[in-house]
Amino acid sequence: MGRQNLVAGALLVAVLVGLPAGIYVYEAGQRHQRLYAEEVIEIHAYVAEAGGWVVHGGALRVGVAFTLRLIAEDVVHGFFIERLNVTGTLVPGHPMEVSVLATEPGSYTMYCTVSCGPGHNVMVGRLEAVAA
Amino acid sequence: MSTVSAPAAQAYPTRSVLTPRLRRLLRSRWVPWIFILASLAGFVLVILTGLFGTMTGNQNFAIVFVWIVWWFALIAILVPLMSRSWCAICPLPAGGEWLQRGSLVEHKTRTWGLNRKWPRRLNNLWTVNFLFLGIALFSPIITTNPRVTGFLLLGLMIVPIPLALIYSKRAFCRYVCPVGGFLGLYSNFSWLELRANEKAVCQHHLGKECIKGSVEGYACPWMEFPQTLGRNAYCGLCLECLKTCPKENIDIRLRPFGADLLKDAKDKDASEAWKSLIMLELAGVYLVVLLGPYGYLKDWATFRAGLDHFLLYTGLFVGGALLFVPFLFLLLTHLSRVLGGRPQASLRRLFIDNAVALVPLGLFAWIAFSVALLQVNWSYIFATASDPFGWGWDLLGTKAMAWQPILPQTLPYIQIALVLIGLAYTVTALHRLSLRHFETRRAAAKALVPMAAFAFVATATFLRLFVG
Amino acid sequence: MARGLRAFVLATLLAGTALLALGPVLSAARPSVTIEITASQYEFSPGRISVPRGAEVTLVLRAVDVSHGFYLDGYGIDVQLNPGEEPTVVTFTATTLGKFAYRCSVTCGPYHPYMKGELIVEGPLGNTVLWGGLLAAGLVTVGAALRVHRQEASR
Repeated sequence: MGRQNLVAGALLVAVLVGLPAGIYVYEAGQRHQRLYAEEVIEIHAYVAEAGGWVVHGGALRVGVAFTLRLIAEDVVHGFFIERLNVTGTLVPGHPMEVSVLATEPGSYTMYCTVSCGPGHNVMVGRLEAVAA
Repeated sequence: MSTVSAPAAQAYPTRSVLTPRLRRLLRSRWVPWIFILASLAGFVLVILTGLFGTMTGNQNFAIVFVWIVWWFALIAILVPLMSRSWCAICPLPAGGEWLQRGSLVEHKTRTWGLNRKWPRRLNNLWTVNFLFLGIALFSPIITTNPRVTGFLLLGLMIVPIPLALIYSKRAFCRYVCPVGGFLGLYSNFSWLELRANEKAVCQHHLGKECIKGSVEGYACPWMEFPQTLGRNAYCGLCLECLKTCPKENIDIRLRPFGADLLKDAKDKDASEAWKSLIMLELAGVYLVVLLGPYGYLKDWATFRAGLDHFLLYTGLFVGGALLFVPFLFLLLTHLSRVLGGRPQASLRRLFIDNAVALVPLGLFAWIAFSVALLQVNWSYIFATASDPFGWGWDLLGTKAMAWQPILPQTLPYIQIALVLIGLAYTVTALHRLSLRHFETRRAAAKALVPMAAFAFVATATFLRLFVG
Repeated sequence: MARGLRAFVLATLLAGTALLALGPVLSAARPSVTIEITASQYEFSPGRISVPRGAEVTLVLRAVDVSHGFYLDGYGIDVQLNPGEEPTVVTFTATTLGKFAYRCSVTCGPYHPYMKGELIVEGPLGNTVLWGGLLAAGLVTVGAALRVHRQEASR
């Protein structure tokens, strides 16, 4: 293998391996900041037929300030979480972050507040909080 | 093939664009290799974002950069100005070609794979036509669903590999690639060409490195013969012949737009004629279904109205492209032939030549369609460049750029102007053709009428869709 | 090919524009039009509306299934329509002839980019821009053919 092919090979590897690796590392860094540096829970909103509220990142801890990161995945949704009293409108492609502090353990019900199709009324989810 | 000989006036003014410095640069083995690598990097990003990014299409790099950026650049800039140059940097055949050559950028004499000749019965665009129609049928879904786009491109990257290991050279590019079909046909309109300069030099030169290869480079992978290369249609501007020719007789030149439309060629066949008519019909279909106000048509095309309506849509779509429009065009060609007094040229020859003359109209109709996408949705380019996966990144600070069409009320006028330019070139080509095929000027003028009428009605249809 | 052709196309486009300019001379009093438009996945209903030039147009807009947007080319109108809410009312004067698209401006599902309607503003002679365009197309067709015909004669 000549020198030119070696150089070309190195460049090719840089692209085929380096690009995905770079993306993975960057996103992991972003996520680490989001999910572990601060307490963060990601919630994805789909229309009810496609899954409704999908929670990533476990549960809230009582007495600890958490960031909820809400992402609408298909159409515009709205959210309201009982007792935590946070609400807002979620537009696809524009993640939204709100700060919450749970004062007691248990289940917090999430409702969709913007009509998002036939399944809107049954688009109900649950966010758990555990004792610290 | 027609026995009518081409007039001597096929020679047209040309001007070389190759300065000695540019020629030296293009002779490097790294050109266009380094650009293939760049577009491969883009593809990797497209496939990753398509498969793993947000499902919201307008926030996903794959959707925006393939169906808005790449598509517009290809049809409005690359094809008219740089012929089939996309093919020179396209990453789809790269994997297969590198395996086939057993080398990335250097020239090696031995090739791997079975090196079979492409089946003669498929030495045409029919495979391309069917593949293209098959993909185009699902375009509302493909152009809005990142996963589908990701898988489609992944598939298009994988398929060339076995093809390259079984067949010789760029069989995929020439005979299978769905993009290549219209890319080659529309490149006939381009103002750029790569040709052998002095035919006498070729005639006296026995080495023929351009088709045999040399230490400088490979034999033409597009299976063209540079000495007699007359049309842009199947020259992928890979620049191997520029590197191998020891006489520096290969040149890249500017010439008038549309220069190749009237040229006779062995590979100018019915499949090319169909390709031209398919593209014209498709521009109309997309303007009606995708950019029109008819929700029910979109429901048919996206399965929202059930399988039976999708099949109805398929029937109309494919039937129109493969049967109705070509049949109508055939009738008009026949009428033209009768009006002009039955020339030596066969109906088949006239059909093909006239269909290829429609290229400018089709090209500009597609440019008009693509301008609409860009002028309205340009802001997504900055949003997805800043957050390709839709994961909440903001690399460039433009993630939240508002959707704001640029002067969209001017769009119908831009579209009308574009399509009128295409119409002018097409009618010009149609008449030059009739003058060549028919005995007298008078007969040629009469024969022109049905063909010009077709072009006018097609244009009127586009106008109705743009501004009516 | 280029110069004469370009001049020709330009001339025909100018002719079409001259037709447009006839508008103000011929229009009289200011009519008033109210149209209800419903947005749903993935169309506006009605999808095509026609108003006379100079009309005071009132649009009563509502969404029936998910949130949509209403953006009207050339008028700077961009509103969000949420289902279940009171209809949004927008008013404007249709000063210019031609075709103006209205587009959905809030992501409302996968086929959102293709959700579009059309407003045609017509003069007393109808859709003058379309007629102008058709005339231009006719002139280009005949002009291009004549040009080639004359070139051949001078061989």
